[in-house]
Amino acid sequence: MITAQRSNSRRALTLLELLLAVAITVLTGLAIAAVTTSIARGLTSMNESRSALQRAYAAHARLRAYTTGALAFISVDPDRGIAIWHNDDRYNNRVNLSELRIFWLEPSSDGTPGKELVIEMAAFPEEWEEDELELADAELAGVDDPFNEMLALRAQGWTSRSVIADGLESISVSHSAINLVHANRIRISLKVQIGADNTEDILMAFGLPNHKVPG
Amino acid sequence: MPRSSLRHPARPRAFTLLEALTAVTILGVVVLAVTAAITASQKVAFEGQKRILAAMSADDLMSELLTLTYDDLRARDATIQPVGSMVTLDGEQYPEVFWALGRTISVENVILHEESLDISVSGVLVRIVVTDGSATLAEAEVFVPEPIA
Repeated sequence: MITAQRSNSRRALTLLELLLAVAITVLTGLAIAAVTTSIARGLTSMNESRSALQRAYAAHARLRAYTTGALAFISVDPDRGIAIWHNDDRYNNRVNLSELRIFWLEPSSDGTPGKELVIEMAAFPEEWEEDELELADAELAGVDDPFNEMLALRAQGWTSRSVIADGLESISVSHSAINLVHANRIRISLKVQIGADNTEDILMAFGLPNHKVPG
Repeated sequence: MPRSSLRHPARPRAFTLLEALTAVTILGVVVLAVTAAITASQKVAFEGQKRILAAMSADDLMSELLTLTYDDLRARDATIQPVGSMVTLDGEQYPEVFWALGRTISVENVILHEESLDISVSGVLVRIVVTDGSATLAEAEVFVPEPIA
């Protein structure tokens, strides 16, 4: 009969036991939350770094595609971008508007944070005859600002543009000669955005084996 | 009343040591598996990042080397930039993100023979190897013909 009595008398938790159980549950919960948060933060950071590096790699490949055969870097403006002499298709040893490429650093067009690198070049109407082309495809004089010249072309609707990289903060250029136009080795430093607050510096070196100083 | 009911009344039974150990082991294995998976994915991601940077720096150096004269190019043979000390040809230090990489340049005299045309071209084979100190991450190779005197 004693056994039967014991089976019905289920003792409740004491206050101390209850508090201990609650404390252990809270501590365990906090530990799990901390670990989960830290893992999530690590993974986010890793993804952002990888994304930044992929953007930098894309920018690198596209900049190289435009600069490998280029003849000279002719102007750099930290606030606007880079102007290069891409080719001498008119064989006059001078920079014509159609031989100019501008890499603009502009605020992002889709509202995402950071800036984007946009390439712009002359694109005259296809139906033009050669004499019309020659007239419009003017030579840049030494005093001309290539950026303003491209803006003037754009105002007429005679340019084409495409984005080659986004998520950038700034761009700077250093080179191997006293004057940019005489340099056959150029370094471009990109500050690539990682997430909202951080940036990563990426250095890119470009050689211009076909380098030529415009006349 | 059956005898067994009296001897074994229905009361809550505690976990046995074996059950507790099994539960702890299962939990441990799960935690270890998750940790190992995260570590492995981070390692793969880091490896991928290193390879991207290695490919970029190999292309960069080759592009710079091709601006040199033939004799200057040959003089660059056996140039070693140790891991963490990469610089451009003009001496600019690469930023921190390239810390795990180093480069070597080799310039080897070679004669290429084109059998179909029966001509031989002498020149140098420029080879760049980017490593992280233990493994090769990227390579670039270009043949530069000797200029005609």
